[in-house]
Amino acid sequence: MNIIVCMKQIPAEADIPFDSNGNLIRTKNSRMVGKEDYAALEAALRIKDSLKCNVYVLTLGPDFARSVLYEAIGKGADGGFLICDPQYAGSDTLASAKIISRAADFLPKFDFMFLGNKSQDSATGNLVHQIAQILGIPEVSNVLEVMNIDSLESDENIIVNSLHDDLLIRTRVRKPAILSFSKDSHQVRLTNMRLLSMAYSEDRIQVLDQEILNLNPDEVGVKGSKVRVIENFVPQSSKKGLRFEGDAEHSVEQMMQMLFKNPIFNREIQS
Amino acid sequence: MKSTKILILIEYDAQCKLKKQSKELLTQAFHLKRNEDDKVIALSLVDFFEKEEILSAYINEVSLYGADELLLSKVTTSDRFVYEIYADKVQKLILSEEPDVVIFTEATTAKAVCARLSAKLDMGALSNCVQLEWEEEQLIATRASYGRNLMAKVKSNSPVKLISMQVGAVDIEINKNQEMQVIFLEDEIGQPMPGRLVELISRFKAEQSIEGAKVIVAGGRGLGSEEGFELLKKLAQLIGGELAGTRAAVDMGWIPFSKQIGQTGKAVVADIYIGVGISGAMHHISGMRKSKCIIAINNSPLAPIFDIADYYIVADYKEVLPLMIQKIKEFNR
Repeated sequence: MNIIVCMKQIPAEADIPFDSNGNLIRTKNSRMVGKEDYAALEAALRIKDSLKCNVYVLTLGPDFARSVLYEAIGKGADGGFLICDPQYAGSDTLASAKIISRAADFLPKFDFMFLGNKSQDSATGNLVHQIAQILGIPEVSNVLEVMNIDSLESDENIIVNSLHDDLLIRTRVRKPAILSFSKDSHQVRLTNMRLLSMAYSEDRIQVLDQEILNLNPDEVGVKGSKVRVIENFVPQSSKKGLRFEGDAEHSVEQMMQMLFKNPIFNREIQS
Repeated sequence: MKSTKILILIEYDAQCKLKKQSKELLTQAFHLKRNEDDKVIALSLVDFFEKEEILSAYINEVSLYGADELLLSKVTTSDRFVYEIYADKVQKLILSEEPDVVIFTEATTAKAVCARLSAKLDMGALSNCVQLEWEEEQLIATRASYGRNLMAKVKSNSPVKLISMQVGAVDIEINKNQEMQVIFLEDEIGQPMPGRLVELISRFKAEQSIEGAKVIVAGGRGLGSEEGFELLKKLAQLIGGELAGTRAAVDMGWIPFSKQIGQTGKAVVADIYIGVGISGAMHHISGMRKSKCIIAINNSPLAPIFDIADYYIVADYKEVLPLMIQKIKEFNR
């Protein structure tokens, strides 16, 4: 059985420059992986813990994003794929979904693809549905737990519990399927130093670029993105809040006097 | 100017009442109309098609918010969780009605349908929008951008604009439409993908959710430790508030993800929001900025959250919170 885990490197800082297209310049900052993606990786590794299964990690990004793959291999993944081509820079979610869906042709045939529910930088949560639509397979978002790990190899289906707004639902879908995991569903394991050093010394990462994927250049990157950023701006707040500063006791005294007169505050703390 | 058609997907809650987010969508769509010929078409897939009384109450409720047409289609209860059925239905309507704009909430099914349609029709999807406005013939959406204090204006190059709106983005208004047309769609509803089977396990209890909370006490990275939340908890208990946190606080493991406010968590519109040790990254702000009374405590005088606060104290929360707690206790006596 094969599971592909998609992971994304995101900026670890808040103040990041934008290019002229309004896209983040991702080369000039420290980087990290979101907890959502770690949850997806851990979910796959737990399946690998209990049955025969290969876990491959996939990331789309600049060359330095390969560190994500090393780390995942250090946690127990079997190999990694880096989708990397200058033409893919600036892709919106749909363009990214097209790239990843095409890459699926060059990956080991998978039973499941796992993703984080939302990336922390763009936070759309669209990718899982877009890939499912393009590949014509079912998807479940906000997954909390895989319920049939032990029989997953022989079962035709995967059974998962997931959050659907304020409901907990159980869904059974046929393989191959794509699942996106909720951030708090799995706590990722520590990196194993022996595996990590192996990841760096052995060549377990394959690069997939435009020469291999051969996508229509009009459908990827900035050119292929249908969502355009017009401008990034600092919102002007019309609010003029009351500021209390200096000695804490004095500030609190003053603020609470104002708050106790505020009808909203008064009503809520009385009730 | 050619007339504009706006299609929206609306939903109802467990009591078959129109969901708050759907009222927001209806209000937003109403405001996108620019002339008499413009039309708001609301689509709802309902599992109470045969229950006349409930159905007519629902229709009545929808008409309060200004839709010109309400399209009703039958769906089974378990199919309400099957994204592809909704996507098929909306796609059919996009082909037959040719709307210019299609707006969704960010509820699980709606979000999935918006994303699936974007791939199906090869069209851009504008997600997490907090504001929509026309600039001549262009529909411009505003959403939180990545970073401390930035919003982004975005547009879609596609012929049909697919949009999902963040909860709490719009102030609900009554715009009753006496002449709202109700159309029952009798055509066959799609099938789930082979092998997909969904069952409902349980409904989460309301107290586990921060979304409807009237009073929220939220903490961020500036608390410095999990112990900081103990102080917050005392304040929250005293004023009947729910504890919540920023992404940073959740990632540090100080508070569970279900209590996360912001773009990757929940959006809230509280009567009172108290933010402690929260600098105010836009991803957090976009999830709470509509709260009525915002109180912020931070020791950095430049914290962006101060820009949207009604009251703020520039000081160490460890000094401020015990004093606040004491004052409220005195006041309550």
